[in-house]
Amino acid sequence: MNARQTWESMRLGRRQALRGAGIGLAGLSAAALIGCGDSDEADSTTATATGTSEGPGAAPSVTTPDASARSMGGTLKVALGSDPTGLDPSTSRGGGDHHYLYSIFDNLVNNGPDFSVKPGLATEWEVVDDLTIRFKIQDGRTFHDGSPVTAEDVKYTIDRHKDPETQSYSAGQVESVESVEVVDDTTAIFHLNTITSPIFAILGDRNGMIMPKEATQAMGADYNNKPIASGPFKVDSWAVDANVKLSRFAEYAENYPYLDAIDVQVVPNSSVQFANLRTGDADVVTVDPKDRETARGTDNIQLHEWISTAYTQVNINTAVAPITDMRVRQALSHSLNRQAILDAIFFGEGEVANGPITKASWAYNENLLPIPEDLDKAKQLLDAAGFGDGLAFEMVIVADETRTPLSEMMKAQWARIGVDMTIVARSAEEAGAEYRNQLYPMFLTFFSGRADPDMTIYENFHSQGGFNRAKFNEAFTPGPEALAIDQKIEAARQIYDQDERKALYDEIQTLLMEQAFGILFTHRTNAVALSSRVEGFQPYGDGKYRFHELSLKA
Amino acid sequence: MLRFMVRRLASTIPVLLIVSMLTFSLTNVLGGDPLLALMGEEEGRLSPEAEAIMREELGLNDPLPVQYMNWLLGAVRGDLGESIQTGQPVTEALLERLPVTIQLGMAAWVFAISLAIPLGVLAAISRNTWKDQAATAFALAGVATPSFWMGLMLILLFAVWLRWLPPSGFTHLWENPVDAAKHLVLPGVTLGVNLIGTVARQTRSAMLEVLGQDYIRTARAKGLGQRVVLTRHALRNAMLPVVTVLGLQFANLLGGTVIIEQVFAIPGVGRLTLGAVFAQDLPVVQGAVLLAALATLAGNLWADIMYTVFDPRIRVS
Repeated sequence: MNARQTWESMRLGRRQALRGAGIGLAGLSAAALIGCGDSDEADSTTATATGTSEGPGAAPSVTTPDASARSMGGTLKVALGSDPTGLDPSTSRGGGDHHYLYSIFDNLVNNGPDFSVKPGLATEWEVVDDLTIRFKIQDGRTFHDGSPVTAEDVKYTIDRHKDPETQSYSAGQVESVESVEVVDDTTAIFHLNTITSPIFAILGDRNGMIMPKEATQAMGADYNNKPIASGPFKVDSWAVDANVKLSRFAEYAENYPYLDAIDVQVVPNSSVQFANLRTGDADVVTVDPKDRETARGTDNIQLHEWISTAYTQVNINTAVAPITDMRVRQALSHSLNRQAILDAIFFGEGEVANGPITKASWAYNENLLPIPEDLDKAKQLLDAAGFGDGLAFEMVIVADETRTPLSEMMKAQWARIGVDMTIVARSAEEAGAEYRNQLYPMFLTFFSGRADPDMTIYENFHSQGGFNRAKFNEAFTPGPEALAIDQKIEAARQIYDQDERKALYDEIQTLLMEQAFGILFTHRTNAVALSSRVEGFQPYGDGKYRFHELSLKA
Repeated sequence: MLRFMVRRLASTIPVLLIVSMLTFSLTNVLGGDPLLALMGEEEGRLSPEAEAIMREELGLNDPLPVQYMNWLLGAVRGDLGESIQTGQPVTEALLERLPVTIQLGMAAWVFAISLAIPLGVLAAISRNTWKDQAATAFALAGVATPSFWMGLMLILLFAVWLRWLPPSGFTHLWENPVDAAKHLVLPGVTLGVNLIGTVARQTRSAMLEVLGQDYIRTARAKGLGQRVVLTRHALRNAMLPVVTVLGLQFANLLGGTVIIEQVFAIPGVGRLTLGAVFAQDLPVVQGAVLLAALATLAGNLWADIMYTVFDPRIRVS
């Protein structure tokens, strides 16, 4: 079977495309179809994508479901909790940076709301073979300084991440890109050194935000404060701890973006952010669970809530006794009342977790049930493990308004089966370092989730994953259960066919929960409150805002 | 006067040296790695090569005494190093934010003094009446209320419900005076309320002492009215201990901005400091601590000068 598949295949439904191309085909475009289901939203995006062949000045490749009905102009006022850590996609490092970056930069390809791949600067791509992908950049796209976006800039962006001198946090993410070959001004070929099923999700994140070679080199360190990019908004100014001001990039496209400007105020306190929304000093704010009830009951406020990729958990170090024993872990998992935790600690916002992949992703296992509370079983397991007379251990936490009460609640719940847990409160970086240094068997740390299931599952649960702290214990060798899971995780990242991958991830998640490699509590929700004049809000599974898609009622 | 000021400034150099050494060693003894703080719990990670380069650039590979000496050599030339988080020179960052915090501090100062001194006088002249007790209760409530909570309540009342004032943010006085004043009211009041209690109590006891003096009786015997006696004779003399307290409160005011600036989203020194402490951004923490030491000194200097204003017999030299 010829491995070639082009963007045109997107016009077929996912199943049709797979059937036509055969199993294991060209797989990348199958990955490209990730989650691209039958919804109207996906269809309209496909239409936008194919429409881009009109040439320069054509509509941008962004989700614009009801373009005709939207009014132009106005300044969107946003209150966010923190500054970006930087506006340079290579060296910025915060999870909140995307709120800014997505409006300033264009990605080579985009992550859709459900993590399906969407066109970006590249509107067509072709999988030449498992290790080779050819991207076609749309003609006529320019950077904010007027220079054209070329394949050379795409190559530069990836090379810049990989150069240790850049000190880029993205270097690890693009490790599997061996090189980028410039064929001509609008064609770039990615050569991979290993099959990388999450490559599109990776490029839809910060790593694939294209930077202009000349301007970036010329600006040096200033690029971090006022980057030149090709996105719908330009950076006017960034005053640290105060505000970031963006204005419309007039040459972006005809009648897009809708807004004239985006004015982000940095307001650290969440209650004060919400106050800004109520007084009309902000149009968009993230809503804390405690403020959601008020938001629901207030006129002129629209509240959007949706399941995010984030989950709450205890990170377990399977290299530290007594957690090395699966029965102990299972006992701990079975003795928790997750619904009570959801209600008391998370104000009932979210869902009881059944695994590390949430409903925000196509890899969610809808058949997997959360671990039920079963104290008898838990006691039996502890007894079998030789801790019938009780068990004592320490858990390190980052003390804050959520994790402190949560850890106290867990302590009380575990006490019911004779487990005496001591809470060790630390600052975030101390906790991380001490846990990594094998001082504690458990770390109450939440995980924000990733666009692709491999990124979440490999990093947290594979023996060599970056967040699997057992990895840092030199004396530890993973047991047979862990090795069996490792194999499945490795297999899943070598497959591009989404259905096949999902079957494997279903299995992996079941094993992870049954063998208690993680003790998960809840899947979290994102919530945003908007003033009534805001239109066009589209929730994304990653919880990052795309302000450039919004408009204001005339 | 000038010689006095120069001498005073010079005498603080050992203090500043000790303070900087303490900050430096405490931050290092308490542990933690600024690079770990930079990388956070789970977002992107640096490759080992990149991490090595960054450590070298930041001078984190040098032994601590070398790091301190390097910092000190820069500091005497006004170069306090660069922020680990942002790369911005610390001196620049502090100077950028100092005017913001000074405006906030002044607002709090003006509010506190204009309320505390009349309150103290009122309490003194109506000693042991309900007026005295009410004034004392009000002053103590101000001290006892956590400013974090107070700030939120004021926002709720004046911004959300009454819509009189903006809930947060900052504008420089010289950019738009009206807007700036509106933004300063709530944080200024929140910060100043704490000061009211201390100053009012001090004013009350100083006034009581002065009012018992012979010259007050003489003044009254001359037939001077209550107002003249109070303002020209009593208050002026009662101001000396009050000024001392106000001078000492200078540094406290700066400390208070750490919380107030966080609540009201004001880009001042306090917020810079808090962020730097969390991020273990040592150069910024060092700079902020030096600034606080200087503020304490400035407060004392101000008090010394004010003594001469209220009591011409005192000569600072």
